Amino acid sequence: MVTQTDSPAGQTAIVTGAGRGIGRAVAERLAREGYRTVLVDIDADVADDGAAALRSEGFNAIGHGLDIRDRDGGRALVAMLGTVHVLVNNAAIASDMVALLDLTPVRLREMMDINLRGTFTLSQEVVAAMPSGGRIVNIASRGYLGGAGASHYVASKAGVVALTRAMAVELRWDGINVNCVAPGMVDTRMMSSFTDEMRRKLATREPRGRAANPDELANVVAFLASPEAVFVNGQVLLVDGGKNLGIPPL
Amino acid sequence: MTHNVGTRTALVIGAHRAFGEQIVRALEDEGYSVASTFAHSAASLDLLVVNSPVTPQHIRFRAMTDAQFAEPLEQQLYEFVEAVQFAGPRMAAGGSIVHVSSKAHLGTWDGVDVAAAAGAAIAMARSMALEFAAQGIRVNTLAAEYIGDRSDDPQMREDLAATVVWLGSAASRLISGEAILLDRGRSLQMGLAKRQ
Ligand SMILES: NC(=O)c1ccc[n+]([C@@H]2O[C@H](COP(=O)([O-])OP(=O)(O)OC[C@H]3O[C@@H](n4cnc5c(N)ncnc54)[C@H](O)[C@@H]3O)[C@@H](O)[C@H]2O)c1
Repeated sequence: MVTQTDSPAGQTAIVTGAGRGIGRAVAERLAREGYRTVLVDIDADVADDGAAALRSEGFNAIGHGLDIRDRDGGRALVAMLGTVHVLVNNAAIASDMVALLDLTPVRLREMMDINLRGTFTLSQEVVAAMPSGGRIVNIASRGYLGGAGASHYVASKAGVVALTRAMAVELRWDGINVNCVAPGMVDTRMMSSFTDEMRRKLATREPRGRAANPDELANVVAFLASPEAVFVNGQVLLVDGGKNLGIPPL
Repeated sequence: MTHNVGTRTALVIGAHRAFGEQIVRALEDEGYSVASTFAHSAASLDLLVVNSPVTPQHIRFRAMTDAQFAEPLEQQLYEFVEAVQFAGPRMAAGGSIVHVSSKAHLGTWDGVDVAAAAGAAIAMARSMALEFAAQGIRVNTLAAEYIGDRSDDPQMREDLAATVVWLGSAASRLISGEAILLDRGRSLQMGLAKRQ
């Protein structure tokens, strides 16, 4: 049962990478639930556009340009907001395909610095302003289980999964929950470079015959971000239509 | 068991670190010719061991700096990838790659740095296993205890070295992409997940 004090009204939620795709859908969902929702994106324009669209519908939303790796910027944001009850770490760069033997140190380090270290940095700044009852939801990827041709992205996302567990080990004693969602294929701009041929081929490997849409991810993130999930902590939830159970050969 | 004619060759990166002495000795006892630098490596390799055991720094999440968070990735991930990029093209079917990492990916107290690095390294090894499968090269992780942990005794180090030898041998040819815990079942005992 959600009590009055748990109500999203009066609570603040930060969603990173909220200018587009899954993050945008999550931010919309949380704003509709009544949170003061902060849309963070390295691309300030899309963050502001998203927030303005929500405000025009009467919801409480703020757009904020920030690179999640920027510690001082994260600290300033948190100082401006005061208490933060929910953090959704969704910002990441996509997997560019590269064979392991062609993976340069620069590409690997950049991937780890944004997807993993950036998630750590902003989480730490926000946790300093998070009361008992706070919720953090990290967005990893089903790919964290391993994938050929995307080893750098896979490593960064598996790092996020392990970070989730280790943060939960510590923060559970402060009443803060840290969980992780691992999406399979989701229809966002991450897929926009795919040709129709590639999409058709990939769809045959999806148990539902299609990619998820961002709202279908937002449903799950909203649950883990809500007080109803109070006894779920340190978990990784695969949201891939069951693809992780195995797929037929191409 | 080996199909190779002549001496089997191994490259052990991190031989100077904890566990390295036992690993090198066990491989030499098994008849391997062991090198410990790229410069001294044989032109063709049967086994690559990247020995990256972990000494946790016990830094609380709230107090950790960005540099401290990123530090374990240097050994756990970047050195591992560099070594595999060197050794992979020097291996034929039957080759084996073993990464000695840590069990921190399961979640650990005051160690989000080592946890994230171990998680990343294990997933990297799984991706490598997928990429090298067509060439018949296997990649596995030993999720070892921490250096100086109460389980770190001479027996544990001998057993760890024996497991490296086994993963290098054809006796383990069905095993790839695995992360093997060497912890006497301690991960099963939730009561042990206490702050040290
Ligand atoms: N789309 C998929 O198929 C898929 C699958 C698995 C996991 N994911 C994960 O879901 C999350 C969202 O993916 P998406 O498909 O919506 O991506 P997207 O590219 O559509 O949106 C990501 C947003 O994050 C922002 N961003 C990137 N780097 C940033 C930084 N350093 N600081 C702040 N903002 C930054 C981008 O500007 C962008 O608006 C990512 O973590 C991604 O890895 C996506």
